[in-house]
Amino acid sequence: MSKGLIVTDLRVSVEGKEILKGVSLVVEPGKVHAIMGPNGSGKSTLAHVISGRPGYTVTGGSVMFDGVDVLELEPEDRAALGIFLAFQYPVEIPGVTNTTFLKTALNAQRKARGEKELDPMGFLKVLREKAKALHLPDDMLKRPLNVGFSGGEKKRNEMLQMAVLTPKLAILDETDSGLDIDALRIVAEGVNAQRSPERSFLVITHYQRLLDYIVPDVVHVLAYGRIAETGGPDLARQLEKTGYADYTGSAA
Amino acid sequence: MTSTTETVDTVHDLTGTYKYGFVTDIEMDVLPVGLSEETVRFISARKKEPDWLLDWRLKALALWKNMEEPTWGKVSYPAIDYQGLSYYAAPKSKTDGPKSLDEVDPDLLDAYEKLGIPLKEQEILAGVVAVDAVFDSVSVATTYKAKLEEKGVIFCSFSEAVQRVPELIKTYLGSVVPQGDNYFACLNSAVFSDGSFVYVPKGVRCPMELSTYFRINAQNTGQFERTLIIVEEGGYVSYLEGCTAPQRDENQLHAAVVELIALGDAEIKYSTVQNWYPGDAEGKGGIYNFVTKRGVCRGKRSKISWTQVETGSAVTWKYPSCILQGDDSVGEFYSVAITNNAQQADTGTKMIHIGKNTRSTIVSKGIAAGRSDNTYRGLVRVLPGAEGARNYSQCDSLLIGDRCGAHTVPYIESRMPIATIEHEATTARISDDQLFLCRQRGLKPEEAVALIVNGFCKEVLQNLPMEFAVEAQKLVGISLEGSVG
Amino acid sequence: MTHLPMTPLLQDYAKISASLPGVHDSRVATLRAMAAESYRTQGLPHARVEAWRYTRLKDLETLPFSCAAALSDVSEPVEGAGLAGAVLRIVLVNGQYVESLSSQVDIPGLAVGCLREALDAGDDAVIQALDGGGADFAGAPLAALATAYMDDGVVVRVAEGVSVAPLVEVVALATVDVMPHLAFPRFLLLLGAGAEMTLVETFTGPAKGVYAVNAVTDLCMGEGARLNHYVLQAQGAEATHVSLGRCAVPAKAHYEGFVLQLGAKTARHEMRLKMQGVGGEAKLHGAYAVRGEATCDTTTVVDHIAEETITDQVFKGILDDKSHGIYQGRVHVHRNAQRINGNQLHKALLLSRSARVDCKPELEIYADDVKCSHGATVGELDDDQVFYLQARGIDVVTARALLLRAFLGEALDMISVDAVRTAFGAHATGWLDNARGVTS
Repeated sequence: MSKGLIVTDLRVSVEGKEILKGVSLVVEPGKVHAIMGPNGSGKSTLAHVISGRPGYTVTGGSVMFDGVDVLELEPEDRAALGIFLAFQYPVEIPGVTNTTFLKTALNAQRKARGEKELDPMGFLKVLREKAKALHLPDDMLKRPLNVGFSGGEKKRNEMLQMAVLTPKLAILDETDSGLDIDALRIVAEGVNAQRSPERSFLVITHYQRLLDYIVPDVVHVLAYGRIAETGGPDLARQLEKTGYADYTGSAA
Repeated sequence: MTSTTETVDTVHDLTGTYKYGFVTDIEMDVLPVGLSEETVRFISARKKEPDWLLDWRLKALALWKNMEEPTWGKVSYPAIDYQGLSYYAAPKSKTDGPKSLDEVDPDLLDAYEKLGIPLKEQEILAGVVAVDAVFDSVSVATTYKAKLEEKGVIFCSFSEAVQRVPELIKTYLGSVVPQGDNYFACLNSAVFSDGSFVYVPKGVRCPMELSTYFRINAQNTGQFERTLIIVEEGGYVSYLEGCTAPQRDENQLHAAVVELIALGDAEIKYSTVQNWYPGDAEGKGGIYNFVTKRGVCRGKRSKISWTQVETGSAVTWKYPSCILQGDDSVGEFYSVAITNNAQQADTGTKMIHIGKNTRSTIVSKGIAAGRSDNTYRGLVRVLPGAEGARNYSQCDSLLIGDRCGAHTVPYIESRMPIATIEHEATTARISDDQLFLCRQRGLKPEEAVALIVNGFCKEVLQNLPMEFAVEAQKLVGISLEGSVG
Repeated sequence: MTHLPMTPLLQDYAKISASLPGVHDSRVATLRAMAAESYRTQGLPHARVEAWRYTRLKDLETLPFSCAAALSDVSEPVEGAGLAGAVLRIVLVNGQYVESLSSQVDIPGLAVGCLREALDAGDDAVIQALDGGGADFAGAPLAALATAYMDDGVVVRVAEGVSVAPLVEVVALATVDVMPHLAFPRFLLLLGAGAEMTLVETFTGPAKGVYAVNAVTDLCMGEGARLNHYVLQAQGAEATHVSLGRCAVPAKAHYEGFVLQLGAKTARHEMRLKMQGVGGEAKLHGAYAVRGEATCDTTTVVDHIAEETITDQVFKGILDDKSHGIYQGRVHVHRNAQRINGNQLHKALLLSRSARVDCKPELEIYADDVKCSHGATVGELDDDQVFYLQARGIDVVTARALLLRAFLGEALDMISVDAVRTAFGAHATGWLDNARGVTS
């Protein structure tokens, strides 16, 4: 059984239009892969398909995670397996506090994995510590999920969820969009603190600047539904200078 | 443990979906079907009622015969054959009534155990709740009587109160809901069998929550209980009411009347978790819940607060109301009404502002799923003397699926310029994004719905006493089971 | 089950009906028969009719109104709402179209005709469009009565794609007769696909004297058409006014409506909108101001039948003396009408301790992908605001007038056509200048 994420020749369409045209990549445990690319290249589609968002039709290929074919699984089963998606646009749920939400989610996952549920006091202690590390004030834990949060708070809240749920694979879908440099740094610190030999990351971003703070092991350029190029951190820096013109021109 | 996961466990544990659908096989004393003067005389005689009460009932029956069943609610059901119902059913006991719990039929105690209401005093929530249990038509046991009576609080069955404190009954019975108030209340006035009675004397804070569990067991019987709560100046009571019924293919009628009287500075908090059998997924069977609940804030600075969680019944027709007579009195209505499958609910409140600076708050959360119809119907009326009155109403509806209906029908009537009335209503649904977020974080669809709906209802649920709130949260999840694919 | 005596309203019907137009057209005859039958079964509205819960037409119940067409002897020019700029004015006196008082029409694509002639000629388009395109009389007994007696009125046709530059104003003028008289002004608009126009309906009559008006307006819009529809009700102080407007909004069409009610002893204006084409949009706003012992009822019924339709409603009312204001608004989202937006707001100010307001905003929703809301407030003028203005040196009378004008202004500002906003604003200000709250 091979560990990590293995995407093989993935083809995905939305309402009959092919968005991903055969994407293959392997993310080994402990590695950070960045997916960069111009708007509309299919970056977010890749994130959504791996996490199981409805509305996409997989027309070919496979996505394996820790040896399990995740395309066959419901989103919650993928979550229990350790796949976490940090949303580009975090969703609001009125009346459900941050704390309740996280506790419910964590215990649901633990239960699905056959682990014991956490006692409320122990959970709160962990939650407070992690919130503090992300500079999230205590009162935000009592407020309804994302309701009335600023853009930066919402993104930091996604990082808090990641820190609490301790996934094996975290997919960051343009987490940097709409963040100022301070918020970006806090988010990056949150991610870096989570890096470990067991945990891999798929960082999706349009801009190179996030990668100054979260230094990736591998950088992929996604254009027109295909991986156009793969390289090291240098590739991101090179893109900073040249932009995506090289890739957008090659459309067939 | 989170309520939602527990909820789902519960759902999976059940063979059916309605947890309280068992039938208890107890020897019953049942009156043959039919309604006439003789029926009323029989009930009254069986209860050894004084003549004035028999006359009161007979007057109600005479009025009722000339009344028409209301049709304005957004509910439809086949015509009820009032002559095809039995108006009295009581567990047969060797004596006239149980003197203590030892005398109560063990099967009955068992039935209440299954409902989660242990009647044995020592087991009752470490002494914080006193329970009166009404089985079909009669009150079978009232716990903690002695402890309450030390404080002067009377908590007993209605029948017992008629014998013990007839003058209080005579003064207050029908003073808030008169016999001819409406069709169902009138029927109740004629044939009510039993119910609970609470009296809190001046300046007394009732030391524990008072609780009644209602259960319909017998077939083809109507349940017509009558509750009367009187709180004297400066008194306080919190009263909880829970309801269940067995699963039967026939519809059963429940037409209760609740009257609350709060004198100066008194406060009554009345909470209901109504989980009568809702019928099956096709709409077969279930309780017709046609209830009249009304409280009057008679004295200055008095307060009546209704909190209801309505998840059961095939048809619900219910408008717990406040008459704000005393200056500076306060009325509150917090409601969660959930309908699924073929259920119909037409529920809301009336706030009648009479006194100066009276205030009312209405928070209603309606959740419709399946093919159900869920209507909020409410009246806010500010009369000419109610200077400085204020009302705030918030009515939100949530639709789950595209075959249900959610309706909001507020009536706002003001005859006072120096008064402020604000009403807001919104309708929304659970978005695909919310559902996906929850699932991405590991929740099953039904857990996600339960979580989101509990969030939607939070303002109301947090008004329930703790031990009820937990139960209510679970019910929210159970009631909506099967509403998402 | 009729709870009230029939009233004499249909008594002379047998005599009159044979001489009414379109008598030989079976479609018209059928419609009339259905209308008469509908009125017979419904009778005059009473409190147990939910749609008429708060409004009683007391004069119609008690006074001997004549429904026969009244003569008109109006010769002086008719003023209407006082709209500035180019206005094409069409005048009805006691429900009869009077060409001599109306403007000459020479706009390509625009035709103004007499309803009686259209009925006698068996005009298909006109007959099909009557009464909402079918005998739509549920909860509208007075509209049924109007169709039973349907005699004359005006038909305006706008050809496909034509944009009518001048404002078109239909003035329904009533006169006072020796006998109390009930007039039936009827207006029918056939607005072609993609056509655009601004229509103002002005209802007016003598300040004194008892009369009654029972108006019916049917607006038929083609796809993608744009209609601005403004109604001014400025009837005399002893008048009874009942009007029903119906408009079906087809795909991609845009309707903007405003109703300003300032007159009559008893007034009821009801607007029914059917959002029946995908992408249709409607705004329906209004204001009312009532004093004395008058009753003023504004009722709206919005049906979202098609997907992706949007409606927005804002209504404001001021009640003085012993007056009674009513706002009823119903938004009904039909099954399968997804992606709907429907909002509704009603605010009322009570200026007197004897005034009353009844409000019933209602949502009836059968589809889940819907955003609907309503809000309602009732209160008095904000003392803090009055004081704030006083503290800045403005006297209390002026301060109150200013705030009341601003209150109505929030609604009036929704009128997108300048000339109409200005004229309606002037009428509102005129009413406020006489308000007790200002002078006391």
